[in-house]
Amino acid sequence: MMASWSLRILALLILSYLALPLIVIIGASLTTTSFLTFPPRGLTFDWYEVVLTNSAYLSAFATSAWLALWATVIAVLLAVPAALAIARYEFPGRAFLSSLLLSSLVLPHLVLGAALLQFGSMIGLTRNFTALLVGHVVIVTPYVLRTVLPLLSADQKTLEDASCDLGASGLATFRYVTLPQIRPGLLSGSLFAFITSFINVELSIFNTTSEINTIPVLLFTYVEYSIDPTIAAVSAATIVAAVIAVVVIDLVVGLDFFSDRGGR
Amino acid sequence: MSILEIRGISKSFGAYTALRKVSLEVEAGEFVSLLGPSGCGKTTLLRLVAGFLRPDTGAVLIEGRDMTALPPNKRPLNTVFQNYALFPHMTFAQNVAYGPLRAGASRTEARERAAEALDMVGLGGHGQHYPREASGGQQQRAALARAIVNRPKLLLLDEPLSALDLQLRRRMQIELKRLQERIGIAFIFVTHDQEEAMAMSDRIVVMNAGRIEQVGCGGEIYRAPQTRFVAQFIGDANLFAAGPAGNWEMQPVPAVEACDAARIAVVRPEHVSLIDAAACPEDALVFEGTVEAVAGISGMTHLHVGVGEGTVTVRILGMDTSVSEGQPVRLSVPRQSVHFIDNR
Amino acid sequence: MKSAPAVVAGLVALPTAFFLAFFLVPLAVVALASLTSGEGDVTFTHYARVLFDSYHWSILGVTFRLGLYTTVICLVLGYPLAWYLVRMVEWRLWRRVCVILIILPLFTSNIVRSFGWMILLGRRGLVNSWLVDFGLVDRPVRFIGTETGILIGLVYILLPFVVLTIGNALAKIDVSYEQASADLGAGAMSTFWHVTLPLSIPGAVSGAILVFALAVSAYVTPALLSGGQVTVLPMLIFQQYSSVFDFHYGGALAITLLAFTLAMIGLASLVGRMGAR
Repeated sequence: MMASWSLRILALLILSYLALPLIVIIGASLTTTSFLTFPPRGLTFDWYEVVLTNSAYLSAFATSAWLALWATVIAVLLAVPAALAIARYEFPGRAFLSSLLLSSLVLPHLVLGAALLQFGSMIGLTRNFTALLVGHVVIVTPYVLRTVLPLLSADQKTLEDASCDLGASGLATFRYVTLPQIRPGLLSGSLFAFITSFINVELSIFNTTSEINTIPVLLFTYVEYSIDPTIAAVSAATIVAAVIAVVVIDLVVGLDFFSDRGGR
Repeated sequence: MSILEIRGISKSFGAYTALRKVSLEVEAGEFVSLLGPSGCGKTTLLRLVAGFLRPDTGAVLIEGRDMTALPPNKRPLNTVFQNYALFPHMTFAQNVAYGPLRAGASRTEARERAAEALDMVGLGGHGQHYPREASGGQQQRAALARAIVNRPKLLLLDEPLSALDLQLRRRMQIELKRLQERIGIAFIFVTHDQEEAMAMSDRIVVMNAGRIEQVGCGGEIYRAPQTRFVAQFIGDANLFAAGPAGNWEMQPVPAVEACDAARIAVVRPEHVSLIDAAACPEDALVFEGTVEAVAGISGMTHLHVGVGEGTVTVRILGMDTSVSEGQPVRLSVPRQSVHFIDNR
Repeated sequence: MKSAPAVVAGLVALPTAFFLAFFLVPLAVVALASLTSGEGDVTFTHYARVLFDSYHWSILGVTFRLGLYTTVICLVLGYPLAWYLVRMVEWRLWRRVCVILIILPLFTSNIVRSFGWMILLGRRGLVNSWLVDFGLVDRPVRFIGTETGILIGLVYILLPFVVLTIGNALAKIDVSYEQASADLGAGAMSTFWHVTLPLSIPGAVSGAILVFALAVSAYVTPALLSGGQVTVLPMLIFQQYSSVFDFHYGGALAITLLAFTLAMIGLASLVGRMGAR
């Protein structure tokens, strides 16, 4: 019993360790002082107002959102056909294709960013939106592929056979049978992809400029020089957005990973 | 013209040959079963007819038109899948309406035809159920309704009853047969259960190792098997090594597969009888042996009698208590119930 | 009717072309640059410089040390937390909240998360004021600009990965093994040591290797928490590409990090496959 209780207390401590920085950022963004402090002194939303009138923040936010949106759309258009081919057909290079598309998941993004900068400078594709976009597509495509692939199981293949047998064309089968089956994976994979793109620093940092910048890279450069409560306000806003995203994913696909124990 | 003609089809998967030059014709309105052990090629043959596989050689003709190169959605036939393959995100009614909608029917028309088909299989009023809410029997019926709603020329059924328990399976066999007679569509029914095939089919196609062994009605296949495989696979059989035609000498042997006799004689256990030591029946063969085992099963007595080096199985109606193990007996087999096949 | 090869080609043409052009070719360009001199001759001098120079040795040492400590601490903290979530939490809603709390950091930028620690670990930050208030130290401890500060940040960022992999491994262990162990007379501790722990080790090892690979390739957290006092390999790589513009030497550094990470990932998948057996 003693052991059980000390384990519970330890777990709660570790959980608070995970929550602490996020709470601190949100708290610090509400301070009335012009320097960062936690607990905050007073309570004000002034710093959010300052952010909303700062054109650098606003344009960086717009860039990040556009970038994440386009990267996600292109990732879906690349990943879904690839997933269909990998799950449904035997062809030479099948294993190579799936590792090609999935390996950016585990490679250091910094190395990939450096590689794209060097390659981009050879073909004249640097420091613009397209240069950022191709890199982001490379890092987010595996998220979509990874969530869609498991849904294209052998059972699902039989359903497609049945649809074809009932007279549906390949396109109708995809529209009415395959798509509804992979929809949850597509949704959560796209959301993961969007967020991964939205929060990336290591890849974007090579191709951003003062004209075209993303929110995380902008924060990174600000934090290196000075720390003020507007940075906390922007950070807090992204945390709140992340909370919403996680809750949405939880409601769509269920994040209750650990409850499928056999025999329970 | 036959509704389906399979012409000399062969199919290999890598080094494994699934079908070797298989030919078969099916007439309109006929109920044909493909019967054989697992791995005999029956499901491969069905998938080739449906269009999910392409043959290496040969052709599939439906009403005389060559369909070999057409995909499943262009063939005028439908399939009932082994695990039903009902779309889980659609209700029964939506599942059944799927075919008419793809064929270009209006929503109203598709809905009406779906309701009609569900009525026909006894699922009227269950249209709003999702597959996961329904029992196995209901799912089976819904799959059937979905497959017949487009009025195909030919219905393919891939062991559709194998997931049901024994009693439900018996009932569905009768219902399926009645439905087939009523709508007059030709059925090709894949099964590994010989009783099921016997109970339902107009003709049975016995398959083994990628070949058709024999085609015929149930009685024919039981009475007059054409190959050793059919004789052994359908029902119980006593196999004897026999001489050339006109010679009635027959020897029970331990392993008929290994013997080099010209012919094999097949005698069903119910045609062997026990006779008195003094009896001398006309037009019958007589064997002397020793009872090795006795077992009473469902009102029958099964005897295993050692004759020479082999064993003869005898099946007698009623519980015979007069014989016991180790007892010498005389067996008689009427000549007219001996069936000869060439030993190949 | 299109044949299967035509369909496959239609499906994979674009994804393959895109990833060849913007993933494989750029990496190949880096590898090539790392092996050539400015004049285009093949040379190994860049690698020799990376691997045989004491300045680099100390940077590789710091990087490696931070990776190792991060991994060990993540395991020590992650196993009990995973155990708590899988085995002890009875209330489903609370477990859901905990899982969200573990996943949430993965959905926020490294920069935001490290920023939180910059506030917390500052000279007048919350951590120091607690340490002083509880009398654990006399005067504020310097965290920013030390390996300890970076370590706290890295553990924080990578802990979720360990909790998720170990949690998955624990959740997959069929309770009947533990019931069998109990039935054969083993106590709770004995069952844990002889049954549960060995079964969860492959998950823990693959999680640990993943964390190690991510820790040695992390850039943002060390860059922010180092305060310019500590340098790790990814920071050196960034320098070469962003301000020195030496793609040959930078390439050798990048390929060194890449090779190291790939070796770790390969090891992880090997361990995972052995665990699946």
